[in-house]
Amino acid sequence: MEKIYWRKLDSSAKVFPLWSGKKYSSVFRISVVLKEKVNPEILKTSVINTLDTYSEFKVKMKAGFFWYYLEKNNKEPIIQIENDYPCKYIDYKKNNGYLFKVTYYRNKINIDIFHSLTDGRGGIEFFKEIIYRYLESKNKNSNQTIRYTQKEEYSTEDSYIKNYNKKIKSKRFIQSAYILKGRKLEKGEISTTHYVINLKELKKNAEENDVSLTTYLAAMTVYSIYQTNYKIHSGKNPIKICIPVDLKNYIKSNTILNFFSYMTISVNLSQKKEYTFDEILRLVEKEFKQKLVKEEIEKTMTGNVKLGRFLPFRIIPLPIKYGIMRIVNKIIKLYATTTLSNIGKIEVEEKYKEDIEEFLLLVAPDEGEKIKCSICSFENNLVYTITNILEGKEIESKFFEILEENDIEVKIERNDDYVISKNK
Amino acid sequence: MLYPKISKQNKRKLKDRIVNSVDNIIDVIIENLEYLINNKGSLLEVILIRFHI
Repeated sequence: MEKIYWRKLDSSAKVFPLWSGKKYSSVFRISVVLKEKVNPEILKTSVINTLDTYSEFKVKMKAGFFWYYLEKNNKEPIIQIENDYPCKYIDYKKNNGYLFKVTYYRNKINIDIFHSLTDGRGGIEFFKEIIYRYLESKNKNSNQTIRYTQKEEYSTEDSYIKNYNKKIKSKRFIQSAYILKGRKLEKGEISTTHYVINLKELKKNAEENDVSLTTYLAAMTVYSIYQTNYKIHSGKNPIKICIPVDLKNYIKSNTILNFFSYMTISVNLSQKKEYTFDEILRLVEKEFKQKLVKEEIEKTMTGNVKLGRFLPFRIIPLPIKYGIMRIVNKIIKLYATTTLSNIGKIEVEEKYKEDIEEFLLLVAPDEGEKIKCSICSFENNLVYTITNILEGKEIESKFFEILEENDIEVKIERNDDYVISKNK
Repeated sequence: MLYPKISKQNKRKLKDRIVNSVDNIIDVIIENLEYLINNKGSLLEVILIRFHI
């Protein structure tokens, strides 16, 4: 009898199915905009072939008695034209069991990934392989040479378990965050705004202020929220931004599964009546210096691992865990105003660069964090994206205004008809 | 244009949602039965997978 291929979800992945649904999708999207229209047939073949190499993602999720787990998936993935909002919940039963979904629209290919499968870095590796194979097949008759490099050796180890330190005391949440206010869009709708920013000009501005790019963009995010939402609704709690951190930058690991933690920067703006952008930038910079250190990140990671390792919790049957984690998630959501994910520069093999216009990263907003922000860059463009479930687009307009005031070249792409302008 | 126009989705009626939930439960039961029948030679393995903590 053939041995059943199965594996446990990693320590981070196991919580996502417990609280995810239509309201909290736990899905992120990576898109590539190509210079030519997408050929769906070639795309489908490329995804199927890539799954032979990345068999770690050729899986379906199943419910065990205590936890969900992954099992080999023999069905073909569904590839279809984009016909819904980005980052929607992936109902894996309607998706041939897969925890990712590949869609296309005109020149754009999207992959929506449920976080139980992998994190941003793993998603990028998988997606890049799909793009390489797609472009190889599409340009078969051109002079482009066939790529011989194969994927790096990855493991499916749970790097959290291997690296967490039982002795470290985990962090406790102290003060809840300012939660964005305003009328929401209709259920299921997500508005998306991409700012395609000239990377050199943005870097120059950040360097002039003596801060990193992420710090600068985080400060712009806080300032936009402060001016357009916090002040109007007389906010009292600090604006908190949750920033996912790739643990592979701190701890050696070759896992293709989740291995990230996060830090939360907290900016208290209730001390005086008016704050300038420069003042907010310095507050954000101070938070980055204090919190973007290995010890702090390890504390957060340890807290998350400990919950999954806590025996009384492990032996609770799945349906009860489900109820508990839904409540826990609602509480956690009170401790962040928004999330800012930065997957950094996406490196692509030289010969494929000419076929690619840009990459986009999108993260699903939810009832708690009504906007989510994300960053990725390719060549000389950085794309900052805001996904939003609020009707108003004042935060987006303010962000645009800051870029314009600093003479930073920017192009805007949206998924709706709302005009982002200075006076909105 | 990077995104298609999305048409307004009709809200699902309560009756549809109940039927859908019942369908899901039946699916899970059938799936588990099939699983046990197909893997009866390795019951221990099935238990190990389904009951891992």
